[in-house]
This record gives sequence, C-alpha cells and structure tokens, in this order.
Amino acid sequence: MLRATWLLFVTHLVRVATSKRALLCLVVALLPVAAALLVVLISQSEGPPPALIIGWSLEVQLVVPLIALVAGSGVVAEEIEDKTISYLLVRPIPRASILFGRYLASAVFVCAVLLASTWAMTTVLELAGSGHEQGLTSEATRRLMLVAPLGGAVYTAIFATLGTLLARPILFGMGYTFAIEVFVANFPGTSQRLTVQYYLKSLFVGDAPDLAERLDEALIAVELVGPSEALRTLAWILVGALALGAWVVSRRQVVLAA
Amino acid sequence: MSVLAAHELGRWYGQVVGLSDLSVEVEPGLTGLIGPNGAGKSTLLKLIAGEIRPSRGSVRVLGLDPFANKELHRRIGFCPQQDALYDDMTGLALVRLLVRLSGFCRREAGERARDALERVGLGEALDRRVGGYSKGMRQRVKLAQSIAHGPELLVLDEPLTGLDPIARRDVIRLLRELGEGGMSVLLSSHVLHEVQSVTDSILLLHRGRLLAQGTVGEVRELLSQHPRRVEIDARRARDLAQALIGNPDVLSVALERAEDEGAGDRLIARVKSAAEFFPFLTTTAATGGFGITSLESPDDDLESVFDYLVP
Repeated sequence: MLRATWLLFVTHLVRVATSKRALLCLVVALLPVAAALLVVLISQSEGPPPALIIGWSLEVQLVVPLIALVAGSGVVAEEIEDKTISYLLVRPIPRASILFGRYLASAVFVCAVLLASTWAMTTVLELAGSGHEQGLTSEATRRLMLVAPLGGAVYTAIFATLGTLLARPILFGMGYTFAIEVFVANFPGTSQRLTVQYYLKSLFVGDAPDLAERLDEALIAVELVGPSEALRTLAWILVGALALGAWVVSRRQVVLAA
Repeated sequence: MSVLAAHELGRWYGQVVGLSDLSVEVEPGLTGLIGPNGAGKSTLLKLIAGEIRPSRGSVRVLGLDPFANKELHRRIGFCPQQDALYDDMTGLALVRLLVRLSGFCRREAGERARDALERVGLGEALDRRVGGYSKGMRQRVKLAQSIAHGPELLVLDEPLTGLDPIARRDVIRLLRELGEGGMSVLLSSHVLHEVQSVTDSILLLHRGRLLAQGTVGEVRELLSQHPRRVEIDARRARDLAQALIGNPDVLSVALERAEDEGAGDRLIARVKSAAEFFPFLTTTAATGGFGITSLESPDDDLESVFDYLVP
C-alpha cells in the first residue's frame, strides 16, 4: 500500500503541478492578492485590518474551497474521465492507493498554492503599511498560514471523495461550496456547525478574542469552539472523507465508454 | 488449469445486455475472441481483467476471482481498447511506472520497460512524450505496458486497431512469439482475418452470447446445415465431377473453364461434411488419375464461418 501510494504520489505531483487545473488554481489564488492591491489603493486606516477581512472572507471562505475543488475533484475522477484508470486497476496494488497517492499529491499542491497566495496577499498589505494595528495584522497572517492550507487539505479530501461517488464532481462541488460552505457558514444559528468553515473559523479566531471581535465587526457573530476541538473535528472530517473514498474506490466497478 | 472458466456469466448495464449466459472454458495458448461491435467482447475482457463484476454467474481467471484481485493482477497483462494514455509522460516513464506498480524495483522496471518498448518497435521513441505519438505508436505502448512485467496471461482488447500493415505484421509475430514462449494470450478483434493470422483457436460472440468455440475448422464442422464449398483444379475436371456426383455427401458440382487452355478446368463442389468428403476425394483422386493440381476450401476462413453464424 505505502509503496504504491508513494509512486502514485510522486507521479501525480509532477502531473498536477503542470496541468490545466494548476493554471486555474493559480488564477483563483491571485484573487486575494488582487483584493489586497485594491485595498491598498483605497485604504482607510479605520475598521478591522484588511489582512483579517480579506484573509477570512475571500481566502478561507472562497479561495480555499474553490482551489481544493479544482484540484481535489480530479483525484480519481480525472483518471476515469481520461480512461486511464484501467492501467491502474489491473496492477497488483490496493485500489485505495490510487486515491491516497493522488490525494496526497493534490493536497500538497493545494497547500503550496494557498500558502503562496496568503503570503503574497499579506506581503502586499504589509508593504503598503495601511496603518491598521500591526499586532493584529501579524497575528491574523500567522493564523492564516495555518488555517488556509489545513482547510485546503480537508476540502481536497472531501472533493476527492466526491469524485469517487459522482460523475460530475465539479458541478456538485460548486453547489456544495456555495450552498453549504458559503451560505450556511454565514447563516446565524447552530447550522454553521455543519460546515467545515465553522471549524476553520474556530481555529482562526477561537482563542484570539481580539481577532474574533474585529472579525465580528464585519461578519455575523457566532459562538465558536476551542482550537483543539476544531482541529480534532477537521481531522475527523479529513480521515472520514478519505476512508469513505477508499471504500468506494475499492468496491467500485469502473465502466468506461468505448 | 484453464486460463478462463466462465459459468452462466451475465453482465448488463442497466437495460443493455453486455453478456448473457456465457459458459466457456479456455485452455492455455492463443485464443481469439471475435464478434461484431457490441458482441460483448470488451465486456468479457473487462470481467477477465477485474474491472467490473458479473451481474450473474461466475468467472475465474487462472483459477481466481478477478475483481480487484492483487494475486491475479500480478499474473495478467491487460491492453484496454480505449486510446487513452498519460500523454504528458514519455513512453519509457509510463511503462516503467506501470511495471513498478507491478512490484518491480526502479532499475529492473526500467530494464523491463525498455525491453518491452523495443520488442514492440518503439526503441527509437521511448524518450518522447506519448502525446506526440501516432495512433499506431500509442497502440504499441499499450501493448508494451501489458507485456513488460512478464504476465502468464495477456488480455488484449482490439490490439491491432490503428496499426499500419508493417506494424500489424510485427505485432502478430510478437504475439506468436509470446505464445510460443508459454504465455497465454486472449485477444479480441472484429476483423476476422487478424485473429486468424494469430491463432486458429477462437471464441465467437454475438449479441452477448457465445456462438461457437474451437478451431476455425472445428467451428466450421459444427455447421453441418451449411454446405461447404471445395474448389479443385484438375486436368480432367469433367471426369472427376462424374466420379464425385455419386457420393451422397456431394450436394452439387459445377465446372468453370480455365482461362489458360492447358490448365484444365476448375470444379466447384458443395459438400455436406468435410470429414466424410475429403477421405473420399483422396481415394478417388489416387485411383482415377484426374490430374488434380490444386485443392482449396475457401469456406475455411473465418469470414465465411462468421457469415454463416451471424446472419
């Protein structure tokens, strides 16, 4: 299992980084940077630090799931769409290793892109010296560097599994992203707990009252869980998604059109 | 042990029947799977390769259940029908990866991949990207990846499609060599003479059902209701016709005049049973001195058999 996973990881990492999907991911990753540039141009030194607002509202709530969707939905589905999965299914390897190897490669790529995006966005704001509280900006940046890649890894697992279950994972993934993760996560009440965003937000500002307070100035305030519980829940979601995906891949009959 | 044993095997896709009630055993050696498009050839091969499960019945390959069976997948090579490859990889990198996934170390996988690519005639192109290959070269890469790890059983779905005549001849020769080397080969085609050029042993499928199994001649023998055509060139063809017409296996005789005056005429006989007729003809020819110069039975070729069986 480990050997096959490693081989597929290495192969897919090179391929995913040079694919059209990668190009699309990079375009999406530039959105927060563009937003930061815009803020710099029209900057006012009032209100919450831009790094906090752009970081949360654009980077984590939109860019993270979208990049994970583009890269993650192809983990297994791409092999099926390209009809190349036949070559892997007739090799003496556990079928789950196809999912694991390709998932790891996609997750590494997603995390790298998100780290670069976050770094570029915060660097633009820092260079511009927008006059907001420097301490809060630094803290938000530090936390974003953890939350964005972690969210990317979790979403990539979810969308990779979606790709093992559905013929058009991108469409369903878009629906999930906008209807559940974006809409429900901003809807008052306890339904937020059904989203990954809730736990990412808990990890982001759950133990930082200053950040939470400034974020709540711009968004609807909700009661969050502690970072350790958030981290545990996210880990369970990631493992659960991959376990379900592995189970499906191991049992799935692949019918390719001639 | 038989390489393939299917019992009442059925597979359908929703309302569409891919394969129906197929019971068959295939012994080691080269076997051709023939039938028109939609006959169920690819479905059977996918069942054999373990990509899909039967809807009913059972299939055993080398004595094992093929679905997601690692032990079996170590022992078989599969060349799928679809023209799909990792286009961004070189031929060598692609085959080497797949051989490594079969359990070989990097060095040995590289050697095997190189050797397999050279065997299929891609020695010059192994460092080029597969995306730049011609259709024939892509077909040969598919074949290379299926043989590189040295399987006991090779399952090939339309392996000769897209090859130019020279490449086709080379691949046919390679398949024969693999067969002589002890590898069992199961190959499908809807082009009948392709299969016949590789092997005489066939399975004939039509509309998801097995129509016939055996050598081309045996299959032909099963068709007693279909008269068989025998063409004989003889200097005394008219006398030979008189000698044959009394035989109860001979349904009719006809004479065609040869263009070359000295060559004698051609006698065309329609006979009920080759097994009965040919010994009779041998005896008659030996005693009658009819000057037979050639004898052929064009109905022996697969095309004729197929025409008879598939209306």
